[in-house]
Amino acid sequence: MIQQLRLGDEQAFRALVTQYQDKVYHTALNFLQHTADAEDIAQEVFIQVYHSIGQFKEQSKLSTWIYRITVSKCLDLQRSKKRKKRFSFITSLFSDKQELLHDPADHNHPGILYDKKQDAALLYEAINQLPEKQQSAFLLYKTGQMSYLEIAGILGTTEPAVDSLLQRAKLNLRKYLEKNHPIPGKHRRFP
Amino acid sequence: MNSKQNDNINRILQSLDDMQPVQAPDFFYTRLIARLEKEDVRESCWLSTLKPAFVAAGLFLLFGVNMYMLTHLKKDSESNLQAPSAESFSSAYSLTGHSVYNENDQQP
Repeated sequence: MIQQLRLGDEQAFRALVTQYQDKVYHTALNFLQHTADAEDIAQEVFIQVYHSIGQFKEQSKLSTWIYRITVSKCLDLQRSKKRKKRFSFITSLFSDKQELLHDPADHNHPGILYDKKQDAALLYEAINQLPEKQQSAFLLYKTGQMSYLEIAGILGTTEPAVDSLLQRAKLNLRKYLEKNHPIPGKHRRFP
Repeated sequence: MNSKQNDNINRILQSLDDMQPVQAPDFFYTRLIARLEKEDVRESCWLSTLKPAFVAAGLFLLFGVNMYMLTHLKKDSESNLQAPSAESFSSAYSLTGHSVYNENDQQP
């Protein structure tokens, strides 16, 4: 298939997109929690695959390469959104034409059961505070159902490092949730 | 941290465990191809300025302008270097033979 893709075979490209579009979109949606952004990023992933297939050296699996591009583009968009948010005190949320400039996550993940959506929103809020590598490892493991080996290939690291990232991610998530989302109705003790 | 908070946090941490795989939106491939074609058109418009004929024409124009400027400057510098005439020299240094002292001699 790779040879055909390099030759610009449209049928091969269609087969590739059909095979990976759901997985790429699913991954992007978990990183971005925004359906429009996830579709946009998924398209950009396949556009990059289309243009860069000639440079793919086959040192890893094609799926690993595609996931690596997906994670990279998701993190790039996250950084870009954080930069815009940081300067939002200078710019208003809406432009003069009332177009929304800073579009927050909608947390409307169609794959999450209805009774878990609220908890999932809290968890995503905590995940977004993690360092990028911990965030990537956690999301790929939890939502991508990937093995340590696959995650290591995507992140360019080793399996023990992935295990360490996951442990630290869980610890940091727990700390964040304890601090920011105590049990509702719990009365604080004043010293 | 009490057990109730611990249970709460555990519940939140496990909220993604039963996640169902999500399918890409309908007509994803169609939209992707449309976007690819749009990008190809945009690139070809921009890249057309880099065609060899355009590059050669641009270089020729640049060369022509440079040559014109060089020859024009050369002509100006040549005209400035011409030997001044005797009349222009004398008028520049007021050597007309007419001086203030001669005027004073004529007064009574």
